[in-house]
Amino acid sequence: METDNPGKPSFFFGLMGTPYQSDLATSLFRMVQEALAQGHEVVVWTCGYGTMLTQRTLVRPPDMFEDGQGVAAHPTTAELVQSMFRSSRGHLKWFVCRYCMEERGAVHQIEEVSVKIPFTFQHYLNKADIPLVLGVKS
Amino acid sequence: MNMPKARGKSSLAIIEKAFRGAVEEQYGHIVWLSRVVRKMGGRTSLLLKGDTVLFAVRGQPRQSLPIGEDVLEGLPHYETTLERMAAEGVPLFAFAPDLRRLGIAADRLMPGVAPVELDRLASLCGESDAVWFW
Repeated sequence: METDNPGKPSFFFGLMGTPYQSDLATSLFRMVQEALAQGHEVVVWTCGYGTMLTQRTLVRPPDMFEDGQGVAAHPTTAELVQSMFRSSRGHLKWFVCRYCMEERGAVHQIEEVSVKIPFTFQHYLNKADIPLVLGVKS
Repeated sequence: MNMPKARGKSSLAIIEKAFRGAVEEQYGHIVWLSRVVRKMGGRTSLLLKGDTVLFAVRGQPRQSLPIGEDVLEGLPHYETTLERMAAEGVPLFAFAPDLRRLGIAADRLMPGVAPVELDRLASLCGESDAVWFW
């Protein structure tokens, strides 16, 4: 992969597994965050229900039962991805599999991500120095 | 404490699947849902099975996660939710065989959580009008 960080390997993270089933997506966020912080180029590819993480229609209502102790902000996953883009200095690309996205009706995506036809998965995976595919599609 | 009057069928919620996405769920996890049931006036109790018995280990630190420009402070902290449920009068149980499997001694459990052996399980279910497995 072309990079402005010579000597630093680029990463491809393919999220195949489903959010809300395990801490897989949390692990993805942590790895992407750390790779970007260390100056690596990062490509994320989401398939299956992972395409739903970056919907601009996501809403997290406030916790109606919060007692006022430890009140914290509760951003959506899409807002967290946007936050990573803002701090990434252009080193992050986030691709969403069009087939999976449309199949699940998750068609309202944030503008920071790019929707890709599924056949380019292999292309982007091969361009990266280090590809990691996470989870099993469901 | 200003709690709503209990109404409706009583229920026992059994939770067996742990850690369903910290970034995705944040406060809205499955233990929180049981607390919501209680806050809405439901007569509910909670049994932790499987790896969810880890939720009831006392003294677990809160975690935060830097993501992008932000620090996500609102990750799930099950112990806090369980503490509040105990204070609100929700009976809390942890499945003893799973505690042993994970090497969790009874004195490591937070106050208000009672270990339950296998031979007590059927009668525990029978004490409620309904049993949720979620």
